[in-house]
Amino acid sequence: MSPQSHRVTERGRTDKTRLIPFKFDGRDYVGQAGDTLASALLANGVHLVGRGFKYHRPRGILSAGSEEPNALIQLGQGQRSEPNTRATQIELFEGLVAESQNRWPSLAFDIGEANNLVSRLLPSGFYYKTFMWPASWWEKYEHMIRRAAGLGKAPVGRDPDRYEKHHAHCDVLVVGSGPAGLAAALAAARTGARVILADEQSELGGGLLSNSEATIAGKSTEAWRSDTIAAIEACEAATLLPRTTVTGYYDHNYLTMVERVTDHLANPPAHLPRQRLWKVRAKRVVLATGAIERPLVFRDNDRPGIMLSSAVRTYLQRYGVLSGRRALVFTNNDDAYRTALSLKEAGGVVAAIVDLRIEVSGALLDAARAKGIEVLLGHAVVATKGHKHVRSVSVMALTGAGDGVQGLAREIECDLIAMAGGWNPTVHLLSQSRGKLSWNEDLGAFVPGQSFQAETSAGSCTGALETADCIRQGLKAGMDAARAAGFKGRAPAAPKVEEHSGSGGMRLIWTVPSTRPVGRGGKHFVDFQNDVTAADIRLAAREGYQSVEHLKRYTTTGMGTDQGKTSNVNALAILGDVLSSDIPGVGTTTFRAPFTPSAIGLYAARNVGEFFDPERRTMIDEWHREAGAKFEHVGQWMRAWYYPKPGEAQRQAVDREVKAARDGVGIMDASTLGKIDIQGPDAAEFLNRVYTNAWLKLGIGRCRYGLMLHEDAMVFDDGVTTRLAENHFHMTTTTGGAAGVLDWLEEWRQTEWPEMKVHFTSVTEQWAVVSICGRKSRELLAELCDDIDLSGEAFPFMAMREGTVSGLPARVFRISFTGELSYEINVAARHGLALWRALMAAGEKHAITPYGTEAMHVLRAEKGFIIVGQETDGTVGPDDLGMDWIVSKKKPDFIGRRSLARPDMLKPDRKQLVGLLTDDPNEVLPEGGQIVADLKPAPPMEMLGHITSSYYSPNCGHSIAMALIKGGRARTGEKLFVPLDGKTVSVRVVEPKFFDPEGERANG
Amino acid sequence: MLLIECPWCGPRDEAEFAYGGEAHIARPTEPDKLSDAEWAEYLFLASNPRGTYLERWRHAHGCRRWFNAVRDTYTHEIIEIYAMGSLPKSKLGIQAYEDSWRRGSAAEQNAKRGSAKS
Amino acid sequence: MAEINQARSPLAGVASSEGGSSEAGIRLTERPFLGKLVLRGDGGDGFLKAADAALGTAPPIEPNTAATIEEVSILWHSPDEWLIVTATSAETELANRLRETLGSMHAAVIDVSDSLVALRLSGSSTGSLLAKGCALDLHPRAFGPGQCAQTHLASALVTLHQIDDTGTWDIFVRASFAPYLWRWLEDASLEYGLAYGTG
Repeated sequence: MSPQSHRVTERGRTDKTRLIPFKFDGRDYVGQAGDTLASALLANGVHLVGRGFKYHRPRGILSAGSEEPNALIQLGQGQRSEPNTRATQIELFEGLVAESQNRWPSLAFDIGEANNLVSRLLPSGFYYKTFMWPASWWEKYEHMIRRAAGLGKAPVGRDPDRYEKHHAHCDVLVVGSGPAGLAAALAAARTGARVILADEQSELGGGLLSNSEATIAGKSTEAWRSDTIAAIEACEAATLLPRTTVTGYYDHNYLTMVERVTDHLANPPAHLPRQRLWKVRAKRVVLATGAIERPLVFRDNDRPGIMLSSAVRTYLQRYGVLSGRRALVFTNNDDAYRTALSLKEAGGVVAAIVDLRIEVSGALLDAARAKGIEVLLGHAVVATKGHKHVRSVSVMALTGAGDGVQGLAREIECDLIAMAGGWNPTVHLLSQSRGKLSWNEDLGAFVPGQSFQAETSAGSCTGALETADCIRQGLKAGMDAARAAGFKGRAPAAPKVEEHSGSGGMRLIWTVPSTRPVGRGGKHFVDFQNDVTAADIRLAAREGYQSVEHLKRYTTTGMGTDQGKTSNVNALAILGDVLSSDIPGVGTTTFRAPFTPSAIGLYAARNVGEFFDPERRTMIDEWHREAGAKFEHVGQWMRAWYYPKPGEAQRQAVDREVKAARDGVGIMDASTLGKIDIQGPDAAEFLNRVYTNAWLKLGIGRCRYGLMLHEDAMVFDDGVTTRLAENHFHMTTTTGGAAGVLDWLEEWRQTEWPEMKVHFTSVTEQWAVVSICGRKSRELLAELCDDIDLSGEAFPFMAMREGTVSGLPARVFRISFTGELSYEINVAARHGLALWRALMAAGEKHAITPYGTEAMHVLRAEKGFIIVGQETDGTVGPDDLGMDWIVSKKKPDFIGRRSLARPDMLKPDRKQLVGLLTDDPNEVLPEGGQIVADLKPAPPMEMLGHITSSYYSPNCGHSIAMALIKGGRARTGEKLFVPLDGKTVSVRVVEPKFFDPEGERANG
Repeated sequence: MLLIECPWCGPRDEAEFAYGGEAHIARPTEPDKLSDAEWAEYLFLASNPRGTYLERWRHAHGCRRWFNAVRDTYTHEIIEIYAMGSLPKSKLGIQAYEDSWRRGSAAEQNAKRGSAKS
Repeated sequence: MAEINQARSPLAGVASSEGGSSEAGIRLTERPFLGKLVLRGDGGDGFLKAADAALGTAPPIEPNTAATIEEVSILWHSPDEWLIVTATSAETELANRLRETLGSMHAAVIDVSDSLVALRLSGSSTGSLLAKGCALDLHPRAFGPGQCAQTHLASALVTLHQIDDTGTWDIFVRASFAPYLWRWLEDASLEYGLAYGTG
């Protein structure tokens, strides 16, 4: 084939002076600027572009748009390789590399075509009836099926492209830029409204780009198109977005759009993203989404060279490509006559027009006959021939009723079939918006019914087929939308349109009869992408899958990447025929976003890697990193976990830290703890209601530990709260609970006790907190602080003093999570690092040891202190934890009080917190390990509870663990078992306090 | 992504808000007088209608104020936004409030007895 | 003063204060150590008068608006909460003045100078940049100078304050989210060109 053998140079919008080389299946071709991959292939006479999904039959380009089911291409190489891209939407660029899919070893010779020979064994749902025996072979079968299934290859490696997300707001969003969309955008934009006009194609104009015979307002179609676009662009608040698919319609007029920014460029600029995801909130939406042509369902209608009639016209008028030299036009309506006339004018041969309709009249028919085109009314194509390219058809007359054929068959040679089955309004977005569809019997199509959101449809998507009607509807819709959004003005006058028309009318024969029953001798394809035939639909109905939802899933019709754009209505109609039901009775399935497939990277956009989730670090973090600390996630925070010295593994480092924190001085960064400033005359009373214990009489400068319950009496947070002044408190919470507790306090104040005068303000990040603990901590603090009396009498345990530490204004809290003598020094966060460094320097002589969260966990566990979220999970109450002592029996009301008296909370076999010791002191139990009393050789065994915390305790010299066990406290002294994978560990139940059980050291 | 009109800040995306469950669950003021079953009914049972629902929201990522809403749980239409601590004024809202089983519940009677507010 | 010399910003080691092309569409800078206070009060006349006496102007009661007098800005956060922004080291004296004029009223003044980081964003493309991470309608028809809002910017909660009509914004973000947000703004500015500092 000579290069661009099928290019018609005097037609189309492509630029013959800019030739573009590209590769398809390893061969070099040349196309023109403005081509899609599909038009460029057709220009080179290439029709075979793929193999069907199941039967591997040769397939060619069917359409010229996003509805394309056959020409699915593996585009690009390496990490950018993208499967299942539609050749009809790929804009040609220099160096484009494309491969066909689903064939091996080659497109021309594909072993998979053997499936076609055994196709009678592979109808819809065959896999529900096969691969069942022997059952043990299932994994082998699955392996084979997986290799055979699927289309295209996923790329290996990360998506290297940048994607962006943008929010946008507008008064009117117009979807589609054909005559209706352009008219709507013009009318709306002229009022000054903020208008966004989006179209999935590379140029605006929609159908006007390929149907250019009409005269609009005395101008050529092209002049009207470009003048209208210029007029819209001149409106300051209008945004025009070609290459932008509106892809999803959500609640309250929220829509998503995918803009292809650089996909069409050979060398994308580095600073631009590949694509943008727009998230638009529109006051009003105008859907001008056009209509998609229906294929006709006739025997063997899937050969390469069998195309939609409007696509043949588009390739000719818009791209300057002749899809075949000898065309056969097969139609049930007038529109295909326009295709025949165009082909003839461009120098092609039209072998015949085969029209299912018996009676036809009008200008189009006359024009066709005038050009010498044979028109066969009341006839049908009953068979086709040609393995890799159609080469002839068999034509017969229909019976009067159209349900059979009669007379003699006539063979007509052709290398192109342009089929026209009518138009399906593109109602996907309307349907996603929850708008209703209604069936139009005359058009044989679903048209927009009741809107659900603030939206109107205009143009071909309402069923209007004449350009004049489309423009008129668009002007009205755009104007109404702008007015509803609060803008004034008058729509431009509807222009006069002159174009050819026919007699109208369509003959709907959903399954074109042939010489043999459906399913015999050939295949009537309905869904080209998933290889679903009319016989499959009949089979499904016979087998009882008669609801449209079952039909879809059993046959997989409409479930491909095209979501059935060219097959849905045909499938429903055939089902309707089989069930003798009308189509509204059959119903429709739901359209789902996205309208066309989009890259996962687009939805991730920037939010990968370092931007996946904010990483929060304290002001002292730099020191931890320099010291070689390992970190762990605590929510979004990265906290120092342990500080290994050279050669130390985690265990050694933690053991060392845990010992040093008691014996010498430990230092820890506790800045992440939640801190809430509470002020107001009702502050103390409020605390009284949210904590289980008493707060009214807490002295100024004194600290108290508090437990918070939900109304169901389950523990949900704890912390130490300090009275700074009569009406001023400083509350601390767990790191993870900080935001939740603040929300909780606000909820109760705003919704339940609005009369209480108290303010809550988060100060979590205002203060850096450095905790020092151990025998020598007082001595160390004294070196840096000379304005606070640190003696035990002047500064007792659970008190707070203000002063300066290392010259920095500070609040010093004498509280302890480790059970050692301990001071938590709070300074303004900007001074946190300076404070830490000063303590480290002064502490050097005391062998000061930084310790991380792991050591902190061990230290508190040695004391039996709980961690909310570790010993509790929302089902654990205070008494379960052995903390009945903190529950006031006198307070008239606090959150959770009533629920403590619920029978379920008083059951003796509730899970209670206990300690566990192992026989082997070095054996450390796994957290989460299940505990049983009645040990059996294998599960099932009755589980009594689980291990909540477990560590090796260097201060005790043996492992320690805490657990929640049914009736745990009554089991003290008992021997229980922890069955693990491969072994069982015996444990002894003890009180959950392992080190310094009398608590003397914190009081030192 | 619903568009919700915060009474203070105006219309904002749903992502700025946190849901607060069913509205007008009055907290009993003398809970000791309720049986365990009546208390459990107050605590654990919630309505789950298809249709008009009275619910609470807070503008979590904005002004942090709580407010009430009348929303159709099927269509997601937000029929009315009204202040925390007040009752709906829309027809559907008033209907949903009056029809709710909670109006006759022991917990609500208990709440009315003890306190001055509705 | 020892304490000033030992002060460190949450953006230390992250934020640049100079560099970039003068033609950049985005200019980003940190405004370090600004004095910041949270003012709580019932928004009634007595409270407004008392606050006015200390601040020089009354806290705005119109939601999501800011009042500015000299170097003090008062941003509405909620019917009972305002964010006050003032010059570096001026917050303590201002807080004391406020506590004095508010007296025994049910009100509170809380120092949050270290809780929040202040960023200044300016340039011709700031609207597009913010629209990448903020769902608010910031078009001049919907949002103007003197307006502020608490909202999301990327995954951070921020207070945005529009300073003028040439695309200048103040962004206040919690300290521990500042490094993430700074890096996000840098990355999102790539296609517009980015410069640092006050220019």
